[in-house]
Amino acid sequence: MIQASISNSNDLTHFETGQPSFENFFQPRHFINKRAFQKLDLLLLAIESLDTNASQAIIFAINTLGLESYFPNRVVFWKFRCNNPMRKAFKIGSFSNNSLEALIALLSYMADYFYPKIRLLLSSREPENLTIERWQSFESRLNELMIERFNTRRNLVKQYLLMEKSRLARDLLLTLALASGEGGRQRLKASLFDPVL
Amino acid sequence: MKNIFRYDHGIARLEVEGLPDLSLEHDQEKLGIILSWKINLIGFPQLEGKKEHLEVFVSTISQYARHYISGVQKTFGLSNSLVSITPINDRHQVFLRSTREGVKPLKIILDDADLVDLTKCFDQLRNDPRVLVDWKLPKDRPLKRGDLKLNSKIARGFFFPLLGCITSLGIAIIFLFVPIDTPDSLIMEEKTEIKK
Repeated sequence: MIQASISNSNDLTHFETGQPSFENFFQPRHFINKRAFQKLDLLLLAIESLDTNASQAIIFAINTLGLESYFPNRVVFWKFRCNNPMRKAFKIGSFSNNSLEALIALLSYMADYFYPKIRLLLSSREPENLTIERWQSFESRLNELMIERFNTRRNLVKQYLLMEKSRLARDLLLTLALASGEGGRQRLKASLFDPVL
Repeated sequence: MKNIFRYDHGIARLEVEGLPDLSLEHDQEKLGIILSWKINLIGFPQLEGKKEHLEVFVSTISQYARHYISGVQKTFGLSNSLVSITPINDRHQVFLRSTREGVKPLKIILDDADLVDLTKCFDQLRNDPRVLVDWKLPKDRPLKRGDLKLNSKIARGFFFPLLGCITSLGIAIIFLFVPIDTPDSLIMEEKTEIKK
């Protein structure tokens, strides 16, 4: 199914040539703030909460999009995600702009891939009992993954865990939905370089 | 010779009708001049208009979505502009105003899924290589500090310490003007010392 949809999309073709294109706002490494990684990792976590097989789908998508040079295996991908300061295994690793761009592209692609599921959750036209069930399942999985992977002693993680679950889940899903596809990729990329509050 | 391009996403279907701009040597399958457009959102009336209306519509929705992804939820479009959108209780209220006189503004309320469908439908139009219209649409760029919730956050952070300081200072000033009662024994002692 991933292969079918990638053949229809031309938004990631620059990765096939191995020469990512950067807009002039794409800053050098030292301008990338920790919030960018935090946001990207949380969005990946939201994708993993949507479907139990999402981790497999992400690895499959890396191969499909030709991003193996940036994420050759699960360990490298996990290490890249560990740039998120909320992680238990947080470590400032080395990364290039290209690998960050690759992660953004991967996220947009995965958001597009899971868009039907995201839409079901966001739509108010679905039967109420089904929607409540879906939300409960999504929120509990998201909470489990956060407790499992994040350092719950950090204030930042505590804040997230204390947040109203439905608010956090909705924000993440809406961000994912708006980040899907080519237009979404540009939006997400721009948002990662917002000034730090 | 007219070209009609359709963009579908979820509940939204946008149809743009136009011509290639031959003065700019466009190919026949390109679109350089927009003659009309219409958008169907399932459950809402059909919307249609000229290029200017579409440009404002796309611009407003795109900016709203761009800010939303950064966690900024605010109104876009003035109360007298052709299109305005406001976040209201997990919904998005869109006002569309006609340029024709006597036509009342149309209000539509979108849920999150509808908003995303509409945004992605406009994304398709913006990123379509066949559409060579000279749009005046804002590009997706990082927001400025003033656009973020920074100001309100700083204001909230300073409010309570400032209130505390003002209150303490006020109480101190009040106590300055309160006369101190001297005990009678001290007054007597003072009088005897003077007599001596």
